[in-house]
Amino acid sequence: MTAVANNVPARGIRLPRLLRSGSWSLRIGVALMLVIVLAAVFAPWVTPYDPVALDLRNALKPPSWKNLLGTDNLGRDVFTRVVYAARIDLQIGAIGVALPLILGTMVGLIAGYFGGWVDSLIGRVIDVVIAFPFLVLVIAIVAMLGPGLINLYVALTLVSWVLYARIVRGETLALKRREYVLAARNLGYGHLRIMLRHILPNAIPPAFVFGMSDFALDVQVGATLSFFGLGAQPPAPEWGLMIAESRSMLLSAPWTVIGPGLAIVVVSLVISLIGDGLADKVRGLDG
Amino acid sequence: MIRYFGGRLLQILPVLFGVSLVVFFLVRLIPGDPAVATLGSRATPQLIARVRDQLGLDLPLWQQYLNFLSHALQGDFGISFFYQASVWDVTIARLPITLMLMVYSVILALIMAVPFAYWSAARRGRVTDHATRILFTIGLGMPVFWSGIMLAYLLGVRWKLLPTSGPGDGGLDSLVHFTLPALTLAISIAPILVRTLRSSLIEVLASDYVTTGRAMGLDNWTLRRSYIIRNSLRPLITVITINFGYLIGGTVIVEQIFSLAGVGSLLIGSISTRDYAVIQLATLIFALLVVVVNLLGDLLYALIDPRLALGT
Repeated sequence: MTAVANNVPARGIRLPRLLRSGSWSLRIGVALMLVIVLAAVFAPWVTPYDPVALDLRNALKPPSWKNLLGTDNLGRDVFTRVVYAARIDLQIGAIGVALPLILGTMVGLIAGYFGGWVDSLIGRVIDVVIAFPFLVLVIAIVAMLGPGLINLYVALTLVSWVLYARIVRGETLALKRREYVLAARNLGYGHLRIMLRHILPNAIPPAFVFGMSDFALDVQVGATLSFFGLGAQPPAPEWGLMIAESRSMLLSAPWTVIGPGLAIVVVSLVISLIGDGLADKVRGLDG
Repeated sequence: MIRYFGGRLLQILPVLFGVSLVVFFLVRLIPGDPAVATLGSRATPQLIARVRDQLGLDLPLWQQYLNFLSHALQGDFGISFFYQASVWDVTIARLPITLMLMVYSVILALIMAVPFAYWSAARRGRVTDHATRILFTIGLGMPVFWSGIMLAYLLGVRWKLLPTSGPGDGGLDSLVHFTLPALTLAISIAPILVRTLRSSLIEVLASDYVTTGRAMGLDNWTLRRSYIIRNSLRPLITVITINFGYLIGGTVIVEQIFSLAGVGSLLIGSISTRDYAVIQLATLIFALLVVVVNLLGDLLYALIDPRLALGT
């Protein structure tokens, strides 16, 4: 079965088919992720409160049925802010994966396909960027560019494209020796067509799987930089920033710090459920 | 073996060259005039001219890089405006704290990971295995700055078991002061160790020599100590070296949370004081640490398993 399947170019991963045949961890993960995304998108319908408006009479109220996670020192409902914050944090994860994925895939495809000096040059660049600790280089770049989400995206893209490039390069190296690629070349197809139509669909699934764990990492890095004042800026609701703002109130109002932290943990867990399921899936595709 | 080591050292040279380029170009990312940015509100035309001269900003780019490189090789990274001292001295003085924190946390992580991984592997598929995996997945999902704050709150403030800030007065007191930060860091890296160790343990447990040992009537302790644990520790060298950059990232956060005066907290602190040269040097030191540790890991691995050195 595998021998035949290997010669037929698979058409990448289709989400609906994937879900129907997916494992339980994948189904549960996707379902929970959907709930989180919907809650973030329809936040005004999820909670009656405003995420930024002050209400000093209700400051530092402990959790109750009225305020599920209590209120902060400015009287803002912590649960409301946690829900609205998902908009920013999920955006950091999504952009932090999408831009490097696109850039890294293009570079990795070119390196693996053409080989030679192009490949060695790109390989050297990858080695250099990987030599830096991820978080340190992101912090250093944002420190130079100035704080803010846009600069955070620039930094994430500059640093993490190499990981995708390395994966796609490896896949491309293996794929370009397959019969169907050689056949396509013999048919006289151009390099671009072979790269995009024949190699790319098969080289990209492992990059997607890595993208899932990278998503969780990016959310954490985004929250960390915001915690240090380098990412999202007040009064925006963002998990890391919320923790930084509430840190001094930890003794009197621990709920202001626990809530946003738990949100990050939950998103990381949901992502790892999806990631594990996807990894099994892709391993299955390879036979 | 010596040829392998030599070859490995030569491979590092282009990486070091690239690292120096990146660190050099970091300052170019500052929007506008780096001299004005460095000085901030202190900027006067004379000072700007002096800083431009000191940074060599009026020279062609390649000459600026050569200057940077030749100064860097002599440990000259300029004077910190904030500390009014040599950038090199300020940064290097903080390195021991960072290194101590990292070593301590790796030891704690191993103490946590080895028994749990063994437990998990020996009872594969059972409740303990799943519980361990879920526990460590949660550990991996907690952002370091948050788990640090929560641990400091619970163990430090609530139950008053451990001090929550500062490096202590040396010796045992320092060890006590470093425990909470190292524990925070250990919790974030232990899950990675457990995952690798568990799969390598499963492999070892199923191997012929363990079955033979068991058939020969070796007791469980001898079997574990001399055969199983020993043979499954090797992948740990690789995991630790591969994730060393991740460990450094955690160190930066933890130093800041627990007010430890290491290179990491210096890096964060220098952002608001616009000490760009310090940011450059701290970034460089962290990258060099990664390169050196990876080299050491490879050498250690080759010493343990000489086939590697002969093979390539």
